[in-house]
Amino acid sequence: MGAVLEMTPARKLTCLALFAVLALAGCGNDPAAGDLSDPVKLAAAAVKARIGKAAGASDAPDPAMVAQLRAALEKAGQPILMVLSKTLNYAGLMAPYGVNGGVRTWATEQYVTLSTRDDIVVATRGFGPDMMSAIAPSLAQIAAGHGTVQRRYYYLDGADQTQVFAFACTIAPEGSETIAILGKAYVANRIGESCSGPSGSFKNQYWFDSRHILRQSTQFLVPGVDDLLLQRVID
Amino acid sequence: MTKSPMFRHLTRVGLALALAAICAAPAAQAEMRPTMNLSGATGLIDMPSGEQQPDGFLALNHGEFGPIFRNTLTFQISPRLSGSFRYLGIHRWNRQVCPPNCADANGFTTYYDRSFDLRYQLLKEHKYLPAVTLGLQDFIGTGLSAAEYVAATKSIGPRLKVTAGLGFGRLGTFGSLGAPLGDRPRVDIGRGGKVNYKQWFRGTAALFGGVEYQVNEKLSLKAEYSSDAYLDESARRGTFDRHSPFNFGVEYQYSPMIRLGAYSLYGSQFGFNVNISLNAPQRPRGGIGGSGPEPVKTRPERGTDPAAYSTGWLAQTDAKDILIGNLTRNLERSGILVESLGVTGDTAQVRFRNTKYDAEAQAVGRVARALTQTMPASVETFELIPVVNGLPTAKVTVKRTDVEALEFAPNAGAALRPRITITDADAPAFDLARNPDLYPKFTWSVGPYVQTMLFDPSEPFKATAGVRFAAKYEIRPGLILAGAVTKQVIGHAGAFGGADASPLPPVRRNADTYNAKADPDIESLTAAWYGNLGRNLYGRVTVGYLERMFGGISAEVLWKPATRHWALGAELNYVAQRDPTGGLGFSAYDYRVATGHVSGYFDLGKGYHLQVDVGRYLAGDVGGTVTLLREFQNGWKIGAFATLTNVSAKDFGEGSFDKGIQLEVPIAWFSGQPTRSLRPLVLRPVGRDGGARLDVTDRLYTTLHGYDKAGLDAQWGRFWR
Repeated sequence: MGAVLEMTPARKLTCLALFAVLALAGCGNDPAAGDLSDPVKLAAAAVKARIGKAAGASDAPDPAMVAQLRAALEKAGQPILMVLSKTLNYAGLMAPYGVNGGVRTWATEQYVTLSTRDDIVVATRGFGPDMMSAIAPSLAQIAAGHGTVQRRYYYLDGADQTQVFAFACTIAPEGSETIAILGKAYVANRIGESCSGPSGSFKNQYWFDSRHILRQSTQFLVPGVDDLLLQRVID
Repeated sequence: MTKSPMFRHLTRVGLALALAAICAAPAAQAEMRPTMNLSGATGLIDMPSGEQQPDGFLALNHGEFGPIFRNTLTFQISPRLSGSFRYLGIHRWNRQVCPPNCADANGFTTYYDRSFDLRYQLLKEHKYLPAVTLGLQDFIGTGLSAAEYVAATKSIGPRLKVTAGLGFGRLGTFGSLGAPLGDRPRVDIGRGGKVNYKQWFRGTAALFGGVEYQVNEKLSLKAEYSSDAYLDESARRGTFDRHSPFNFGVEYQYSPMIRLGAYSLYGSQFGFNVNISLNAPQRPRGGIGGSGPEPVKTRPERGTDPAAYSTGWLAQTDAKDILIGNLTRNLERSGILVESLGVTGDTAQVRFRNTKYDAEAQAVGRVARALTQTMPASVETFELIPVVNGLPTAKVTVKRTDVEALEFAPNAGAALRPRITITDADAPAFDLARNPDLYPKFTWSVGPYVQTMLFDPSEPFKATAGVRFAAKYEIRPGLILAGAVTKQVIGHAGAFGGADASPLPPVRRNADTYNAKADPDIESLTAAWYGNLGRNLYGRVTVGYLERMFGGISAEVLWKPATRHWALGAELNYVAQRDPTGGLGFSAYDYRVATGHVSGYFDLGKGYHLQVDVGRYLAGDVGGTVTLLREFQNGWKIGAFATLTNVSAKDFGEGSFDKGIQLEVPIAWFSGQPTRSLRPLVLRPVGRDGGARLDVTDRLYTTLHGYDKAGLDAQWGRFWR
């Protein structure tokens, strides 16, 4: 029966993200699980290289390293989201952390979290400047490739008071292109969402693969910070 | 990605400033930032202007030219009112007069003085009207720098500001227009500390004025005509030559907080200014950082899984222990300690301690989330009670259904707030099980400390620094043994015991002696008890070495409902003065005194707090203290206090009565990361024996403040952080 109380361990995301996922043999501190340091170094190097690339540096990540990382992640079998922010000099792999209604929360092993409704970001925590909550269009509205939608973002300022930013957005198709997600190529349809409001303007972009999965997106986080680049590495 | 230029600009300035700028953008043209003068008053170079700083700004200003330097702390008390505390020094003070005349103030080669200003903006700038400010400079004290003025400033376009003013006192000494409001009576300096209102706007008046031109975002130029003749400094004492009334300068905005200036003054002097302006109401990094919370865990529908809602677990003998254990592990990384837990089939009450978050609402939110992860599905009502020093504070009652439903609701904080209640934390209706692993609890810390002694006439800045070891042993909730020992690493070898003679017992004036001799110093060594004496009634008894200079017993009661805007307290202490050697003895002074106060605490709204204490002070004097504080939502507190007792100005000594400025700076403001650390700072122009209070730690009101309804509501948005 469901109502018997049991001791539950503290939920440690080290088992969900980088370290354990990359340790090939799974979670834990079992010495037989193999050398942890290589995949960890690998992931760190890949992420660093990705940041370098995002910042316009010429050195692309070593393809062999990327392939090794992808193989490790696929073997672990968990959905993985890669998140990058140039402004915040932040890059991390995120794994599922919770589900509430239609909203899924992803987290890094450092408990930086990102919540998406239908893959559209509706909240973040731990980035520093965080989106506390949002009114956002549905994925279907975006995927339709046309139309106008309204967005509202809620933030806490330096006095912990809520600030609201409203935008009106126009959705338009932007053609098809090939994108690379951690060493794997996808042909994707790009859709743009141009938003403007009293406080400024920004543009989100979405790449849908041939299976209509949102493979990659750039989504607005907070004024003054570059958009987040989100890549769905493992489904 | 495409971004408007505005967003790119915002990236550099920082999120908080961006939010502030967007939200407070004036309808009129882009305004020039109001800048400060060498005296740390909003103004030109040496002259004030009609403007004020943005509300809540705190500025530290160091201005220097020729032989004169001024260090000023200025606070924008309200949108129209600002106040300053200034420390002034004039070198070469007696070179023209001593010898032969070396009496009194002429004995100093450098003259130091402290002063207070107040400025009130009569008129805010409108399309056709200038901003107009009335100012009182150095209005308490010796009055050496005393001046009164009315100044008007008008922007002409986005780059130019023009200021014109009429000055009295110092600011009426050059280019006099005569004395329109009659003669200025001589100031009766006495012991200082008097409000010289009979002088205000009397004596000769003169015009001053100038312009400020903003070349670009960073650079501006200033030119002014000064009505200050520097009669004393220039003509009489020859500390510098005043050749001309015209001053010129260039200022550079190095960063949003730091502004630098270089000037040519009075045709003969070079001057410079360093201004640090802090926007106290807004953390520079905006929203608080730190890791994300546990997600809310939803329950299965009762219809689809009725078994999940069974309350069979209540029969489990170890139910509470298991739940406390699970909750403790879930909250560990949030720095929240579970003190006790009570559960029925449908309600859980958690009493917890927040060791990490500067906002109680955030701790409450974390506990609510943890309860959705750990409580059986039948538990629908969460009662969350923050506990501090064993004392339950307010009770926040939250419905689990609301937490589940609103986690991702737009504006979730505002959406949840009407569905919760904040009430007094009265006795629970059911049994609470204590967390068996929490007590006894031993904590310790080793860290650096700095002790400053300011404004000594012969050596205005003295400091000792070293290492402080502190330890705390909590035997059970509300019963705490604590102590702190310091060892100086950098001491000051200067003379001590130089305090003036006074008929009062030396309860505070020998602080220098303590600083020099108490090394190592047992700062405090106490046993303290905190308890609930009744509904909303709290009690404290602290015994031992209470502070550096006194030991004994201190007892206090406080009546503080969590939902009212006021509280009442009473404190009674019997203490003996400790030896200045930092040990455990009481023989050096052989001084014992019963001291205590009745206190009223009033939340005046909009962050203004008033405290009134009436009672007997350490020197046996009787009187009252008024403290007015402004507290910002992010925890900054800035205020001033004054104490009047039956000690005469003559017996009190320099300054006539005890007064000063009080600051409390949250470390989270600087770091952007959650921490409860604070840096308190009390600035007194003169530390004397009259109106001195015992410095016992963790008084009840201080302990409980911020945990009440007002404190929770001020940062309610943090519930979901």
